[in-house]
Amino acid sequence: MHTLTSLPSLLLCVLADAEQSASLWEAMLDALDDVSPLVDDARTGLAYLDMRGMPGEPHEWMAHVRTCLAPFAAPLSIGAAADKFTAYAAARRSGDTICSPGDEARFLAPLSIDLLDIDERLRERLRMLGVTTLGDLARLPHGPFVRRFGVQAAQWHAAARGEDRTPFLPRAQRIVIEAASFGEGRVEEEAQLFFALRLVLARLCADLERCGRRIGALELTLELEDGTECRSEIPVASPSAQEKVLGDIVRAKLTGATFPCAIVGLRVRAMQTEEGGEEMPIFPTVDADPRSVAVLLARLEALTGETPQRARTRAAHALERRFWYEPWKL
Amino acid sequence: MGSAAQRAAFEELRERLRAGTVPGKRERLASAILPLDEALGGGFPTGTLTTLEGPALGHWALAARLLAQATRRGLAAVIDSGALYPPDLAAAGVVLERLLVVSANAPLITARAADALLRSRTCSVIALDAPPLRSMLWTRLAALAHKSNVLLLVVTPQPSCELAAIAEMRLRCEHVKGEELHLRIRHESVRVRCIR
Repeated sequence: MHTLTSLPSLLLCVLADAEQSASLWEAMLDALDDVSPLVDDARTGLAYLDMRGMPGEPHEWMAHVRTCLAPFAAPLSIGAAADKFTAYAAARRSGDTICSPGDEARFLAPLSIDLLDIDERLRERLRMLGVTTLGDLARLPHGPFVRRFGVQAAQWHAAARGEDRTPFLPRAQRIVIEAASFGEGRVEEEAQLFFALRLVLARLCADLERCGRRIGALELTLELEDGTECRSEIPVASPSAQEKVLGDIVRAKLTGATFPCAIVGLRVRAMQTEEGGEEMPIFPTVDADPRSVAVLLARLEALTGETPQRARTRAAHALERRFWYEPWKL
Repeated sequence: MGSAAQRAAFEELRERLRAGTVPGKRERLASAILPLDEALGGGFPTGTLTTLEGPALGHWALAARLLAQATRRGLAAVIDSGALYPPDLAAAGVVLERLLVVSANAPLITARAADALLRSRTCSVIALDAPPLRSMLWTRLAALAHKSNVLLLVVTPQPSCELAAIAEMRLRCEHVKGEELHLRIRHESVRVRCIR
């Protein structure tokens, strides 16, 4: 007789002890992709990693997490357990704490009820009833406890017993769409550069079409013969995936640009990707074709060094404060 | 052909040139100033380089009227050398959301920006303060305006010889008192005289 057994799942809880900015936290989550492909971003500063099926031992995984997040120099606490709440409780203890599967109730019993997400007023009521630890809470009868404190008490009761069933929600993987051309000769003339650019953009737009996406900006990287790189982000006025439109915009940006030496590599990366194909309004609010306007804005920016602007007015006493300018967008 | 007949033929030719119309094809952009539009045969012809000249302050008021008409149905552009006052444009009815303001503080940049705007065919009216340019550049801009069917409005107190020669229509705004024909622009009585 064969018995089906499932691999024990172990979650790592990564708790950043200091305040993180949203952009820094995003970068840290991207770095954690190297540890596990399944990362649950619970909130800024708190993430869970599903290590089911990953080779190695928990202490090795924890060391790997610290290595990946070392460049960010953020103080970290890491815990490991079979469910999210127990892993979180383990992370709140000092050192890299591991709770073995099946040992959750014993591990959680001496810990304070402050670990649960309970309103201060309710927490005080529980303390008055003599419930100060998770073990005390776990020993309470389930039915009367839930009837007295409401539906959310069922979740507290389960968490205190080590039976937290909060689902693991992995964050969506970012799709990186880029095309590059390296090692295929040197480019010293504008016509050669535009030719290479056209080929690279064709591949990029084919990938975008397959994914059903369009982009709001392009990151263009030119690698020079002396080893340096020139990188620039080129905004697209109206999100597009059309090769001709993107080609005209990039050409407008590069026309007249000079470089200290020959170009040996070219990379174009899609930025600000969004779902959808080409926008085609049914009732256009303006007569102009959005693609022509996008190319025009890029050309004007290349010629004048500034983005074309739109004037705005407001009520004010001083004449010069009655208007301001903002970048022109479709 | 007798001299009387010759004179009549020349007179008819002069009238045609004065009217400045290409038979049957030119659109007109009305300024919403009725006497002016009537005098111009329906409005300002598109696809032309038109100058607004003279020492009076009515130039940009008149340009704002045309920009208002243009932005009602599409995009328009102003190449700004730093003197633009958007609240006045808004008061004249210009839809600011549809007005591109391009900053240009050098003559050549102004010319290149005008070139890019004309080639794109996205704006129906482009207005700018006249920079000092050679006749070759004015000729090119006039040709592009004609090809793109865009009204290129050039505002200047006194046009250069090159610009005066290239402009297809020239309007001069002057402060005049007691004239028979007068137009109110910005609460001042001005006379708009069509030179060509």
